Amino acid sequence: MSESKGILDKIENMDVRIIYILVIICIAIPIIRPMGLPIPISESTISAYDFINKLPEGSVVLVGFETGAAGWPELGPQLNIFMQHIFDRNLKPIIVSGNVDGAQLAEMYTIPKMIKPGKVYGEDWVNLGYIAGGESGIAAFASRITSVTPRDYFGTPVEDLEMMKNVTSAADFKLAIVCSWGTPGHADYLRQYTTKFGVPLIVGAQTTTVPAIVPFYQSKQVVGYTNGLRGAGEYEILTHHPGYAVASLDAASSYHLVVFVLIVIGNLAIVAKRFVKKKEGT
Amino acid sequence: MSMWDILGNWINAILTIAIISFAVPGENIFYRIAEYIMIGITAGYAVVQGMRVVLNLGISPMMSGQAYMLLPILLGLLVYTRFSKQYGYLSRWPIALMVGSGIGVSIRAIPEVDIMNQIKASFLPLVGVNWDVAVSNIILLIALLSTLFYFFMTVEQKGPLRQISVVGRYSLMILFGAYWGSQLMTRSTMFIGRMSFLIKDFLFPMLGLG
Repeated sequence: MSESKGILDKIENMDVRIIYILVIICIAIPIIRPMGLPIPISESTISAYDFINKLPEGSVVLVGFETGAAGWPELGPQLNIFMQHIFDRNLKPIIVSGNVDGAQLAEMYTIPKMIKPGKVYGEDWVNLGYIAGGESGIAAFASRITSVTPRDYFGTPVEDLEMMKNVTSAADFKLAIVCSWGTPGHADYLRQYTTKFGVPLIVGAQTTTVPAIVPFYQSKQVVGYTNGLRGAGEYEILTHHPGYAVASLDAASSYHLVVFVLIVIGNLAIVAKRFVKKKEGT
Repeated sequence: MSMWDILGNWINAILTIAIISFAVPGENIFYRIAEYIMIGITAGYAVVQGMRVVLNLGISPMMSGQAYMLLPILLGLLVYTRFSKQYGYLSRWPIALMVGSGIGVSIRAIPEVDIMNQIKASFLPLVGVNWDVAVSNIILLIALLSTLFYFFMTVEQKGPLRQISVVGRYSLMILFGAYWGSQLMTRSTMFIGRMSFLIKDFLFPMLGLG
């Protein structure tokens, strides 16, 4: 009896470094040799895809790169595939960010990969850079774009950009997409773009924030959302551009399996220990 | 790959390994160095962006004749009086202005977005729809009402009322479980991103495999 209690104690007090090493191995193997597990596509992702697909060519779409470098592994693949779809559909994106590094991340990691030949900066897309002031900044931007961003990310006056000639406020946006890791996020966009100007909203969510977004999707205030890396993978499949997210989902599944098994073992150990204690007591 | 790309990749990989090293050997000098570099760069970058905003939206318009822009700049400068014991109280004025206007801007839409539209969306059909939709709607309704009741403090929750409250508590527990699971997924994605970089973008090309 005491031998089994010793094993249970060991499981309960397992060295956390063993778990880390186990996780590293389980993530590394599928990255090196992908398994190609099936990826069912969520209704919310289809809804986002369908909405973008139905927009008329040339529609102006606001894309909020509301993330920093730390949020990029999860939000970057979503932003990339949204931008690719936007360029494929010949829509005109306006990039903004309430995070200091969001606009630069767009220039470094999204535009070079997703831009299609023939697209011209200022005519087919613009990057208006950083919007300071959180929700107050967004409200001012929505009312009059040049009040907050008189110059674009590169320092060019916004009036000189061909695409911005007829775009003065959020009333000219046909859609807003926000991929956020905090504030500003979907709530700020809903309040300032959707409620005030009726701009439909699609959210590229960090998985952490999905439970907070689902109620807004169910109430049809958000037209669609993608759920983290998985959502990006689903969108890559829908747009026939399988890439980083699809390739990484095997590693995610493998990791979740390990965590699931560890949680089950840990809980079983606690229950078994209680049982042993009870038996020893009688 | 240019020389700069290779150098960038090496710095990227070394800093990633230094940060991950916190997990296995524990706190160490390499982790500390990487952490301080990140904090320093982030703070420096934020300062530069902030200055750019002040230049574009404050100083440039002021220099081109919009003298009234001096007012927000002065208010902004007042924030720094908090470093003085004698004049620290002055910093409260611009902060009060920021808090007041911030609340005013967001509160206008909160009743519609967070309350009215959400209440409207909870009027769900329980009959005349597919059975799976009906079951889903019933669960949602029970969870919604019992959770609201859980926070109803003006009546002592005993007898059958307590049972409703217990259902609300379990609904909340399920929500917390969903949040915890979501957190795990988000953190794992960040780690997968780094591992993917180390293996595919750093190790494979170095070994001539990619």
